[in-house]
Amino acid sequence: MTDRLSDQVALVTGAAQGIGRVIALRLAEEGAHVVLADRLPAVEDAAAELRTKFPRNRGFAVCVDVTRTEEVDRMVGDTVERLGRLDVLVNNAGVNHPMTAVADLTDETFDHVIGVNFRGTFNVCRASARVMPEQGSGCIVNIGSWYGKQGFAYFGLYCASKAAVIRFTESLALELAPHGIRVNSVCPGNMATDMHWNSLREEAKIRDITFEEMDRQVKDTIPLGTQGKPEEIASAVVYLASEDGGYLTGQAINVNGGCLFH
Amino acid sequence: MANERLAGKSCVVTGAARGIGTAIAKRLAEEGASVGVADLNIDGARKVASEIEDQGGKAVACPCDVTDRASVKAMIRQVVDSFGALDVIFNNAGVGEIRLFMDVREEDWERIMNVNGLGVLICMQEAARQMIEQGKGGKMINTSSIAGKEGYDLQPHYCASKFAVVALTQAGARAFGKERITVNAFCPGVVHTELWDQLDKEFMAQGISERPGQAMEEFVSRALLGRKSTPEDIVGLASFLASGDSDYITGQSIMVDGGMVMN
Repeated sequence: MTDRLSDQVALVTGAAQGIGRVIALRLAEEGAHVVLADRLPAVEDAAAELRTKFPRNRGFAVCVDVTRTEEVDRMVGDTVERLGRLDVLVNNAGVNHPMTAVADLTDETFDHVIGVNFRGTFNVCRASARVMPEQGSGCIVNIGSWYGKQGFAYFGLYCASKAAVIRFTESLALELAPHGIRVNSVCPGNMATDMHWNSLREEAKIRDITFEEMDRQVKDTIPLGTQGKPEEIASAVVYLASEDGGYLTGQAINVNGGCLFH
Repeated sequence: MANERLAGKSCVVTGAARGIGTAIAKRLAEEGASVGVADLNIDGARKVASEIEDQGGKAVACPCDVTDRASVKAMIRQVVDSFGALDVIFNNAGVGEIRLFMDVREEDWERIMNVNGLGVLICMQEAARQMIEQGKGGKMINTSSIAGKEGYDLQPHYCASKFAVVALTQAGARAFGKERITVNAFCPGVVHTELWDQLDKEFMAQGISERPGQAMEEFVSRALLGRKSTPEDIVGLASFLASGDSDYITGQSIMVDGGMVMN
């Protein structure tokens, strides 16, 4: 592969599994030293895989709850202390909630979804906004969602949390542009991940149709006719982080097979 | 930059004799693609093609009037005959001018809409015909503008034509998705090219600006990244959209404007 991020220092949250793990691997493949962060201890396995595949990688694993300010500040501090800088931040950690009518949503669900998806992103962005300006460069990519660009019934909190990420991305882009720091989001559509399959299974059950029928209905709404792969999100992240993305900031790039155009 | 991620791809760029089109054609060739350099100005296209060949790339100059279907068909035929297929088309040919809202005449509207709107439609249709026949999918990348997302009072007809490009991009994504053809657009802000030099003169001629470069400076002051753009800022996105890295992106009109417009 290429070396478009040679010796840059990257930090990816939610890197133990799914899209985050694939993003971390792809950044390492492009030459970056990658710090993998996750609440799950499995993040150690992801880091071990990365070290085996890319022995030059000087990154490490961090067990972190992104909703906790002090843990996040320590993680960003450790990254800069051990690797000297922070060039690329990818805020990928995110959670969904089961299909729930607004009337039935609990305070706990609110705190969990808004906490991880928005406050978590905010926490890591804030810590990074304290170190990147001194470097005079940096790139932040927040993972949004097409659910952050449009409302969906029974996913009110998830949609709101991702919309918050997208608007916050724009505000931060405006603030950090004078320091040469670019801030963008990548908005996946329906992705072939456990989160997506689980929610299809759940919705099929509620609507009393088969999983296959549910899957077919979803595919019919996507011009490219299929769910996306985590690798396709990772390649957009690499593009934004590389020199090739140098004139983009404040954007929310849709990687969704055409299911939404704005 | 010497990666070969477009090795073996056959691409064509319309409006490639100057400006953004030239820069895209050269970047595609650097990444290993064979490139059709299409333009109304065939001498300019020949010059760009020979510059690409001097650098060790593969290129062919193609005369093309994008508003004339027969000419577009011939251009695509020439690319397929030269390189064996058509994998990627950049519908980049476009014209612009400065005209106050009240001064836009029917002939101004027709000229701008013909090249920027109808020209993109014809090129998309003819390229799709070829790509569908090949049966291997393909990529279409249209040049829109910040003027494709926001209306500006000094070029209402140009804005309408670039909004049309965004509409064709979305409609094309839906029309050709099942053929695995992706259709996207990029939206530059203020790019320093021959076109902007021309617009700058028109600003002055119409008394809207007083000195050379003033209009551009005033526009650029709204770019977050604080500088006017060069074609080099655009080619990274062009290359990404032409590569396999963007295979799940379609129907999108992506801003590459230094943060002037965020929607």
